[in-house]
Amino acid sequence: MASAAISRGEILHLYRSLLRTARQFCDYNIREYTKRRTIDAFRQNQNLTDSSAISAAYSDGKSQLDVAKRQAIVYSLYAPTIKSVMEA
Amino acid sequence: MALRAAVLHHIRVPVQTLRLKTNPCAPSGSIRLMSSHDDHLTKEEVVDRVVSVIKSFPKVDPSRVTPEVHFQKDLGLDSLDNVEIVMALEEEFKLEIPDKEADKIDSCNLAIEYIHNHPLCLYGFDPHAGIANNPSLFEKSSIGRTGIWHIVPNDY
Repeated sequence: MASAAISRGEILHLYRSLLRTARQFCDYNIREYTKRRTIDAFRQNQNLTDSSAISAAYSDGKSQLDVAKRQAIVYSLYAPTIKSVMEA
Repeated sequence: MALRAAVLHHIRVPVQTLRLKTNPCAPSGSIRLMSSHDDHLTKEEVVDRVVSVIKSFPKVDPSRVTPEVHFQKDLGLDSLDNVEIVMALEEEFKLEIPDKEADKIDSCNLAIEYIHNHPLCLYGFDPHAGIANNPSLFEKSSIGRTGIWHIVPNDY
């Protein structure tokens, strides 16, 4: 994960924030989707070497993180009373 | 709900119809869940739980997991996997590990040390498994001590 502008630590920080935000969703499906999607996206971009591509992917990730944070709050306002079957 | 049924299934023991005329225990089995004596997890429990979390990680070969294993060197994981493992440990122990500390947790050893030294690790039992399936709670509960499952009221 070599990059000039964005450090490894920042990328890991973004990864961790996305996973933490995923945990805050009330809906099981959205929670699992968010986790899966971040894992898949970071794996897919794991071997990028071009610094402009890396920074593009990083800023994309940041905007997704903002979306996720907002949506976690919005969803919690209308949380369903019945829990999903998957959560015993 | 399914869990409740499963727990009740476990507690299908023949009822001992003892007339508890001289029963010294309180009728509503009082269980001291957060007793001040066993606030902290024992080291063995922490080790067991950490190792089981790591073994259940899909990319890890369970036979190679020991309490001293290093995630990246021994198990061949990368830093993203590291983050995922730390998140799984956070969920298991219901902790919030700050980023700076989480970055340092590189091996099983460090994870065990960190969790054991964390002041907020209160759970020495699984709160969802019920009293019957938590040996440490069961022995301390009035059910465990007296062996009486069903308190039959005296009919005067």
